[in-house]
Amino acid sequence: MPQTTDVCLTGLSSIDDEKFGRYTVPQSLEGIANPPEKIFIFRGECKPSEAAAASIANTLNASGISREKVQFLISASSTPDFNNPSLAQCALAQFPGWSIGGIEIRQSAAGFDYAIGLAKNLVKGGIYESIIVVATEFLSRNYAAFSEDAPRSQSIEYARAVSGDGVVSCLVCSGRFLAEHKITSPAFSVIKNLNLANGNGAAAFTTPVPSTSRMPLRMSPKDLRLNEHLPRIDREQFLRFTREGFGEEIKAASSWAESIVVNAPAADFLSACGIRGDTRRVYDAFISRGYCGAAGSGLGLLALTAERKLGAKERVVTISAGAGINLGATLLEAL
Amino acid sequence: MSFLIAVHHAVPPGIVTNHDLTKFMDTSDEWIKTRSGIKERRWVRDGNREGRGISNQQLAFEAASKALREAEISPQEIDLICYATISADNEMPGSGVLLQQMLAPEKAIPIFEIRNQCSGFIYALQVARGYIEAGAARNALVIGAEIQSTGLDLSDRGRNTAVLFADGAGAAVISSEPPSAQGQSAEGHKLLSVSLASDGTHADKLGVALPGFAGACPIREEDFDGAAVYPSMDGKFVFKMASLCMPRMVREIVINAGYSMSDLRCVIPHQANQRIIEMLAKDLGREVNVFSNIALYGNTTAASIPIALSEASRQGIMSAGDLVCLVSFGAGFSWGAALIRW
Repeated sequence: MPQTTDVCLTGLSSIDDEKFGRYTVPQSLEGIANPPEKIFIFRGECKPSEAAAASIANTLNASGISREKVQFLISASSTPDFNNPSLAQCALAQFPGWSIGGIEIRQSAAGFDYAIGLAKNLVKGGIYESIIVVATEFLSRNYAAFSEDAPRSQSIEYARAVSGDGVVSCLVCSGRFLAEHKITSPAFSVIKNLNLANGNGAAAFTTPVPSTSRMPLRMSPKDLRLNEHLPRIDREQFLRFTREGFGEEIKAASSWAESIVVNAPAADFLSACGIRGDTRRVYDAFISRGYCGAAGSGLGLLALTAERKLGAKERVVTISAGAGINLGATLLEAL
Repeated sequence: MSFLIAVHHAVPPGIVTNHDLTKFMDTSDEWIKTRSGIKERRWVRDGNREGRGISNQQLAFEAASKALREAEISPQEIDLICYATISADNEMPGSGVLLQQMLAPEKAIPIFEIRNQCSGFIYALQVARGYIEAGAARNALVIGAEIQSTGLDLSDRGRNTAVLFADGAGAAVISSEPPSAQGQSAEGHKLLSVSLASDGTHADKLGVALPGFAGACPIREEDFDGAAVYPSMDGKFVFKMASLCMPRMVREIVINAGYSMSDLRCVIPHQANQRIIEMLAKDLGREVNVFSNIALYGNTTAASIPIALSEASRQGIMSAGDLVCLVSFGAGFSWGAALIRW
C-alpha cells in the first residue's frame, strides 16, 4: 500500500487502436539501421481532442473514479485541434460540464515525463490531489501538406519517415486519494522525476514555421511549398547534442531501474548516448510504433506492463528526449 | 510558501496608433476607442517591411533581465522557467529554451512551454507554485510573452481583431523566500492561492484555427485566402462570458482563501477590453482598484497581466499588505486567478 504522502500513477490507458486508426509499415530509411517496425496513424476524421477524450475516459474507467473527483488536467501535445485555443480545453469539452483547469504544455518527446513531473509537484506541493495527464500526438498529419516539389532535405525526410501518432493518459494522485477511493487498477509510486532543457541543440530538431519574428507575416503559402512548416530532425546532431548535454543524466537515470522505457526520435538511443553493453530490459517506443512525440513514453510504459505484470516493488524508468532539447525521466515503482 | 519577488516588462519600441491602422483598413480612432478603449499599441511589425523583427524571446529576455536585477538574482540561480506564449518564435521548440540560451546557456533546467492563451501567465504561476511548494525549485522565472502583430489580418476583413492584439512581454520571479530574505526591504509578496478553470465548449468563439490538427491536413495553401489563419472572435459572446466568469473567479479565490471581499484592495485583470475591465470594476465595487493600461498596450494575450502588474507596481498602485488579485479570461475558454498579499 502507498503512503498517504506518496505520489501515485494509475489508470494508465490509451485507446482502441483498431477503432481509431491503423498501423503502417514505414518507408525505407537509407542509412538507418533500426527503423520503426510499424507506425500507428489516426484515421483522418479523428480529432486530437476526441482521441485525448477517449483515452481520458479509459483512464477514468480503469481507475474507477468519476471525473468530478479529478481536479486538474495536464495535456502534452504539439498537435492540437487548433493553433489556439489549446487541446486541453478541447479535450475537456468532450465531457459536458467539466470545467476544471487544463494546462497545455509543448515539450516534444519529453511531454509525458514533463507532465508527470508537473503533476507530481502539484500533488506533493498540496495544490491538487488528483490530476489527469494526457499526451496526444498526430504527427503523421503534418505530411498531408508535404510538398514533393520542395528541395529534398534529409532531416525532413527522416522526420516524415519515422513520425506516427498516439495518445496515452493516466491519473496522478496522492497515496491518500488512491487509498480513499479504493483504486484497484495497477498503480505505481512516482519515486523520482527529472526534467531538463537546454537550447544548445535547438536547431537539431525544429519546426521553423510559423515564426512570429518574421515580418510581415509569420507564415505564407511559400513556406508550404518549401516544406518550412514541417518538423526536421537531424538525427546525428540530435543524438550528439543529447549525448553532450545530458549524457551523464541519461546514464544516471538508466541506472535507476532494471526495466527501461526509451522514447526519442531515433532508435538505439541509449547506446547513442554512450550507454553500451546494457543487458537489461529496454523497451524502445521508437522501434515498436515509430516516433510519436509526447505520447511515446506513456505508450512504451503501457506496452511494457501489457507484456508482463510487474511485481510489487519492481521498478521501471522512462527516459525521453525531444526537441528543445528537452530531457525527461521518471522512476516508477509498482505497488 | 511562494513569493512573487519581482516583476517587470518589456515592449517593442514601435508605437502604432489607431490612426496608423487606418492606412491598412477601414477603421477609425473613434471606432477602436469606443469598442476597446485602445488608443495605441506596440508592434514589432513595421508595415509591410520584410525580414526578421524582434523575437518573442528577445522581449522576454529584456523583461526577465529587468526582473532578475530587481530580485537581485543571477540567471544561474533560476532553476525553473515557465514560459507562457501562443506565439513562440518557432513552432518547435518553444521560446523557453531560446530564452534560457540567452540567460544561462551553460545550465540545464526544466523549461515549461505553456500554451494557455490569455490565461497563460496565471497557469504558468501555478506551475511555478507547484515546483516551489514541493521543494523542487527555489527560484522560478515566469514569463508571459507574445508577438501577435505578425499574425494579424490587416485588411478590412480582419479589422475587428487586428486592432486589438499587440506585442509585449512580462516576467516575474517567484521564489521560495520572501524578498526581505534576499537583501530587499519590501515585505514579501506572498502568492497565497491560484485558481484555474476552463470551458472548452466555446473553443470556436475565440482563437486561431490554423495550423491545426482537427482536420486531415493542418494547413493548405488555399487556407491563406480565408480567415482561418488569423484570429477570430465572437466579440459579444466573449464579452458576456468574460463579464460573468472574471468577477465570479475573483470572489471565489478571495473567499476560498479565507478572506472577505472587503479585504480586496486591487485587481490586475487581463487587458482584453476596457469595457470588460469597467464591467469587472462595477461588479466588484468602488473599494477595489481595478487597474487598466489597455489604452497604451492593447491586448498582449499572455503578457498582459505581468505588464499590467509591473506598471501598477511602479505606479505605486499597491501598498504593502494589500490583498491583490490577478484575474484572466481568454480563448478556450480558460480563466484563472492568483491571490497575492503585496
